[in-house]
Amino acid sequence: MNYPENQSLQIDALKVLIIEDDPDYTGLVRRILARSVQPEFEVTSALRLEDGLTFLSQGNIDVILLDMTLPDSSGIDTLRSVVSRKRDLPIVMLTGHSDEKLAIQALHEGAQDYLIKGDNEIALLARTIFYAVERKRAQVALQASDDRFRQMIEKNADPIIIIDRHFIVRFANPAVADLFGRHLDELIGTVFGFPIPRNEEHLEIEIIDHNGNVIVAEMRVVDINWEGRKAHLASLRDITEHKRMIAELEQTRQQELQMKDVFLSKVSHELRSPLSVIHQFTTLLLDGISGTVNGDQQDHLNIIFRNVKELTAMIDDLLQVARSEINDIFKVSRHNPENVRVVSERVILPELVGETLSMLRTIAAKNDVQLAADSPENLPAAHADPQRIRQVLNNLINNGIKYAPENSTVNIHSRIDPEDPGFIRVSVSDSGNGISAPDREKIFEYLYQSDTAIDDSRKGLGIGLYICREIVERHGGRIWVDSNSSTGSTFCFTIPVFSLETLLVPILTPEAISAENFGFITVEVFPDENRPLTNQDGKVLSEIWDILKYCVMPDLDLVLPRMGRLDNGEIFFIAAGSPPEGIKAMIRRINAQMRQCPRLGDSDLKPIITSASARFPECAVTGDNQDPAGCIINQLKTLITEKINKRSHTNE
Amino acid sequence: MSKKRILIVDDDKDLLKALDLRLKANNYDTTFAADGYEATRAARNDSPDLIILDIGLPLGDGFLVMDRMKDFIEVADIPVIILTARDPEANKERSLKAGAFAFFQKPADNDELLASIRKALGEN
Repeated sequence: MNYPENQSLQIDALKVLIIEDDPDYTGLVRRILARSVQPEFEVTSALRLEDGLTFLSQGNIDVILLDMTLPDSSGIDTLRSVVSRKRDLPIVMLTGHSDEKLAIQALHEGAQDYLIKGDNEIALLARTIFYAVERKRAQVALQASDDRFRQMIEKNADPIIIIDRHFIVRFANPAVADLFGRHLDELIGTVFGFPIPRNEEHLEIEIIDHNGNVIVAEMRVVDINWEGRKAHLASLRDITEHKRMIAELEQTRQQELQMKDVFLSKVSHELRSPLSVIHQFTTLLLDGISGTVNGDQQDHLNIIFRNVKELTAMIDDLLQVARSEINDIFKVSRHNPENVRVVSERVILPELVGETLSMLRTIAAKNDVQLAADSPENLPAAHADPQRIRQVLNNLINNGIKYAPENSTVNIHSRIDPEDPGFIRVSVSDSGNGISAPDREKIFEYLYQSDTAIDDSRKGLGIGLYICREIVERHGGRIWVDSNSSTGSTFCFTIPVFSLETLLVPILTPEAISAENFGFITVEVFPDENRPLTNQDGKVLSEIWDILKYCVMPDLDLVLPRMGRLDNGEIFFIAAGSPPEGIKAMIRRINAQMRQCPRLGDSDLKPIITSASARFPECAVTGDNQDPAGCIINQLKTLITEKINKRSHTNE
Repeated sequence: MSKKRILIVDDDKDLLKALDLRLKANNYDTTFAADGYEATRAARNDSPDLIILDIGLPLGDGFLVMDRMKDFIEVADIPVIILTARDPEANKERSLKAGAFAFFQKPADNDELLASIRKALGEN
């Protein structure tokens, strides 16, 4: 006979015990098996069950051939008495035709196979025995691995539950009993009362234990085979403590923020009181209530007054930032939209830098620090809110002064951003100790305080740079810091270049150009006599600005941002994309609105409205003119420059 | 017509002086108190037409002053304008509910403050 070349065959002879009350049949079996060489069989026989069991108890048997009907036992009980003694031995039942049903039952109860006596099957005897042995071995091995698996689960410190496909708990380890605060008996066989996540996914579940405590557990499920069927193995992890700690940390953080808020509110309040007194006396002097003020004195008082307003705005920001909803600081707040507006205009950045430096010279001198600013001659104008940008510069340069070593210089460079010519980059460099890499990333965060700052004076409230970032980002720019310990720190920020081209994109449509619907209106507002502008004038001008904005047709016309600062007046420019009759109507509207403005009526500021060369015939779309839009923009630029220069000259 | 009289209540003497000058320049009579107790007394004795009242005061804050005034029928209707360094978000609504005619945060714009005074006094 040929058998599969299997490693398990290279063993000693298989020891067969046949328990059979018919000696002829036993003889037949012996003869057949004696012929087999690979494997060889060694046969022992017993006539009665009892004798068979005695042999079994002596051990050394590999496989049993068991007749179902013996003098001292019959039927399925015969099998059961053997299985109960030797669970791991393979058993082949010997049975007659009439007993086949019983034999099948025997297979369910632990027999590996059966042979019907008297059939030709006897020819297959050796093979049958051989496979019975192999099957049993595999089954035993599987059982052992199942048992090891079960044991592993039993002993696992983490709660593990096996749930079948009908959500019935099939098995649970003792850790589950601890977690649920229930006996395993109460759980096994019951429906698992939680949703089951998909294979290898997590789910957080809340368990109420017998004391009514809520336990939070993380459940992870893998699909397995359990006792031959598909099942879910759910491992649970008690994360109650973990959760509690996270919540506590968050609470502590909230409390800290709140304390800072309270502190900042208090600081803001304390600052306002003396500021209010300065404000009052300055305005008393300015308004001539304390006597006549000469031109120079008026000038100086105006400088004080402007700075008081700047300081007030800074205190506002301080408090705004202190609010828990800090993110709203520069969004239009429902409480005070005026506070947070960024109104961009055409600004000359080096001028802002110069003004900021002159404010900081005294502090710099006190710290023995020099201030130096440079910028290329041809640096274009920026599009920004001058008050806000002054705030940023003030903050960054102030920091630079604070951290620069004695007798060093804080340098302020303004230039076109090398990475994006649409922006101007300003850098403020000091030669201090530098900022560590982790701080560099976080330094612009709200209320961030460095743990690694070298000295305590480096620690601020964590607001200044946060405000800087908010302002710069509101302008569409970026802010960052380059630093290393040998060369100090360089704070950089970018703000957009002022570009008429960009501003005019929405109204310089091809349709408007081809219909020659393009005009230009100037509103010049100057006092009767040449005198410097006062605070009161400022209010009138901002009202005129508002009037202009609601007299134009949105999407067609554009009130341009302030184009330049004049000491003695203001020129507003409107680029109009309306047809000629629309421009006429617009001018009528502006005149009517201005007549109704009481502040303007009381003032000696007189607006002069001109529709300056309302059309640009030279920009008409003709064969020669390839770029009408560019032509219009150039015309506008020329006009604006002329107007401003003319007014500046009359001032001198 | 006699000048309207304004009682200014503030514990900051410098600010009292400034407001005194500002109001006199605008044709008002002034009288002063520097704490919450004085304020109530002055409201009854000096017969002011309007009170400019700080909130943070010794001897009873501005809210307490407004509350006390309600106990005296002859002063209960005097208009009160709050002028404080405190944060409007936390104090404006509360002030108006307590009966204040207007709320200003220091430093206040003079024109707006004067306009509010004129309005409270029914002047034009």
